[in-house]
Amino acid sequence: MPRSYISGSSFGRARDFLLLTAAVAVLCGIGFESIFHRLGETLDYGRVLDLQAETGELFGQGYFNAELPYKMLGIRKARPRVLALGSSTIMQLRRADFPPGITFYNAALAASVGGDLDGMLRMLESLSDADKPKTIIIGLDPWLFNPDYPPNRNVRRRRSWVPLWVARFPPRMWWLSEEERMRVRFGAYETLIRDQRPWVGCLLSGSRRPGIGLEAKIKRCGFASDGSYIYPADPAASASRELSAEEWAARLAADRYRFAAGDQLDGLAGQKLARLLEACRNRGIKAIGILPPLRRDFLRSLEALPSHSVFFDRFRRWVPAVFEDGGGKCYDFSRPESLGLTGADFIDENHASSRAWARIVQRMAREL
Amino acid sequence: MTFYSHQFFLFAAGAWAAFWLAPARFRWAILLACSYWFCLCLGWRATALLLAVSLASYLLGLSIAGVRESRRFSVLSLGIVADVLARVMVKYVRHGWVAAAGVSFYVFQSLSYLIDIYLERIPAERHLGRFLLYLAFFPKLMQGPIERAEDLLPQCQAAGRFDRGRMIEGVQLVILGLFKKAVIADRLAFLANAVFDKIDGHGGVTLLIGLYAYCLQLYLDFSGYTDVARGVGKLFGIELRENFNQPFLATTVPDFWRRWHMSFTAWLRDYLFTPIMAQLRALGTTAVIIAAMTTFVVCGLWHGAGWGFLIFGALHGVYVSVSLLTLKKRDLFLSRAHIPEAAVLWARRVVTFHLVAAAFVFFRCASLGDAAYFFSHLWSGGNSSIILRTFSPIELGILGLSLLGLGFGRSLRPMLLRYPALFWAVLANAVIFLGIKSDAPFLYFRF
Amino acid sequence: MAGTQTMERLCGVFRTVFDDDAIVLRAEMTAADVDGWDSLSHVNLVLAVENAFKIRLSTKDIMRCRNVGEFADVIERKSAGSP
Repeated sequence: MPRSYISGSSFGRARDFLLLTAAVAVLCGIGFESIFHRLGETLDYGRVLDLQAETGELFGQGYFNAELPYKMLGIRKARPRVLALGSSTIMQLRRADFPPGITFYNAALAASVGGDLDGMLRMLESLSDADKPKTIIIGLDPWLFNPDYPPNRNVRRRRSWVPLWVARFPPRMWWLSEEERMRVRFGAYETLIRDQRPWVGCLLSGSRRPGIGLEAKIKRCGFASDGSYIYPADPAASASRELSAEEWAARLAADRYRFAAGDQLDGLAGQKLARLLEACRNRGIKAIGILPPLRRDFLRSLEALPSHSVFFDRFRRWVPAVFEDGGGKCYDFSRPESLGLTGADFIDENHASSRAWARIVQRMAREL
Repeated sequence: MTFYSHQFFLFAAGAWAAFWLAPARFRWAILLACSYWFCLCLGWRATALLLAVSLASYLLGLSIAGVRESRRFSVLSLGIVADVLARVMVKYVRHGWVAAAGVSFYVFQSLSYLIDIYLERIPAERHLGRFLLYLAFFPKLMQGPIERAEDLLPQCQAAGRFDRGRMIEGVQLVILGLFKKAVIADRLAFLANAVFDKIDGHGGVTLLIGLYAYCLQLYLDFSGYTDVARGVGKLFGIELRENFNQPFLATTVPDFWRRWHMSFTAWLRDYLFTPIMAQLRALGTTAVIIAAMTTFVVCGLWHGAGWGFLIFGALHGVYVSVSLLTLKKRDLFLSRAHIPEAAVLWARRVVTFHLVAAAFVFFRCASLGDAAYFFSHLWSGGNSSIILRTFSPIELGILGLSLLGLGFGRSLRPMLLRYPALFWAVLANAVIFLGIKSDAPFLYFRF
Repeated sequence: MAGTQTMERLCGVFRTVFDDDAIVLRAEMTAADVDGWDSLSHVNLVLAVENAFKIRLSTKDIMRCRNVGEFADVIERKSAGSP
């Protein structure tokens, strides 16, 4: 590399450099943020909900995940009688599935941003008495109780020699959360640059395109105003084919934390579930648990593979038992045959379509 | 801690401040402490190994210098065996990769130190602290350059002056290095990985594109890293050696090795090739072949334990032997045939590049089967669509501009001279905003 | 320090090995300063020197020399009969 740098020696140069770098950085930051704002990616959640109430647009972000505050605000706005909590597997529950007169809101979130047990507890605890529902439907996925699931694993892994007061030291907590925030932000900037989706076109047509967020604008998918998630209408995107036993064996062998290869259920997760049920009891909320349906090829392999069947079996016996003890009712809908579902009723191996969920609501009608 | 992280930036800034604020006599201690702290962040096992090798080398060095002439070689051999053992164990033992941070580099550095003492080129270092620093100096710890005692030890001893010009050069080198690595090399990696990670199904043109991308990626990654190491070194008043000198302009394979990873090949030349050649010189041509093959097989295996690396090394051994032995004859033939020098120059560059690239296939492919697939499918099929499938239009623009800028850097000088601060400010921001930070996109998105 | 006679004879050897009558030696010269002096021609140089001065250089001697001046020193020492 030829020496293309110049040795300047004046202090003024160094100062100019620092000032210019800061100035250009601010300009770049403004540039990126404006793009996100115009696409609807970083609108304030309150504003998003207002827009959704006005125009019925979908909220589907392309660079970020909708987070807890979005659903909390949604609950507050909807004041539902029936509330759904859980991850993407339960996001297909819609208001239309319920008998008229019953207000419903789907507060499910992607598992990484609040759709897990911690998120559910947080949502429940921050509900005021005015906002709290009569009934909560909780979607329970097997991996929530998997010791290898990163949130469970990271809790175990935290070094015991770090005393709690150091770990919880406010400046440290602030620093860690800021680091995380910047990491997500810069990750989004990078995704924007690398993105092959036509965001430039969306940017130029801007507000004329319906939808808040890139995915909503391009693929017409995202959260509806009742909190449920609408998948893209494109059949190629929504149908996934059934796999053979060998293919599942290979996939599950490579899977690291979603479906356990092991036989113990995570104790801490169990405690969180118990706490969740207790909180519902104390506030007079009826808790209904659902084990969401799994497509038959996937279910068969989970039950057949020795590496997974023990855990899955334990999960299906133990979680309903915890519910019974906690004063709730749990429905095991993991067998698609129990609802008369076929492969066509599934979006992928563990996400059932809204048709399937409508049937589930019918089954539970008397509970509501 | 990799160089492209805010943790490293904060660490280096803190170390820099502590270093220059401290009184001159303590500076080596501050640098040593920082270097070991840096190594601790890589793992306690790595630090323990570094310390062990350093202490052993220190004692062995003193011993070689102090002992009777007749005993010296045995002590040296002991040192060589110990060093090589440390290096080999780490790469072959089960959890060895944990301790492997930088071991290939500092073991070679320590070997050169011991051999230089044996050859009476340098005196043994008595000051333990400065010797530890010589091996552990954090900018060069993870990926070199491999320094010689005569270059680095005196710098560890002298209390550097705060030279503003050198500071600025250092910062500029760091920005340039990070730009090469994070903006260009890591981007090209997406293309190379798209071809090499799942090689089945790709046709000839695609394979070739992947290989070119990989060669560029490797060069920019490594030379970028060296730039950062040298730049950070300058910030502490220490000059580290250069590692690259426009390697893809090499006209012969030996020439390539004089331009690529120069600190490493200089080591190979001085401590492996030359003694073997010297010892076997009576054998003439055979000596060259033995020396070249041995040197380059060691070179290949130094990079990793595997058939791919072995073949990589052996190939280069063959290239170098043939080249060294036939160069004079080829030059004579070409001058007699009256072929214009410029044509010869460029033809040689193209051929050398492709020879080197062919060897890099074995370097990159996950298995020999993949390499076999590569060479058998190189000759037909494929197209350039993979470029557009991997990169968005914006990225293509970024890559294009960056590569042009690097390639024609010299012509940009007049512009640089007029607005240097702006140029470096823009480059620094390119590093911040355009650098690739992810290794796995969208880990949890819509889980 | 090697004497001028040694340096002159050495210069003659250089000129033969590198086929260049214009070479002039200085003590600080290294391989980088002479066109065509690579690892291969280095060994040829050593052989030629051993022939011309009727001495035998050890591997250690060869490895030790970093420039022309040190090379000449070694040659002188060996010619004078020391091991």
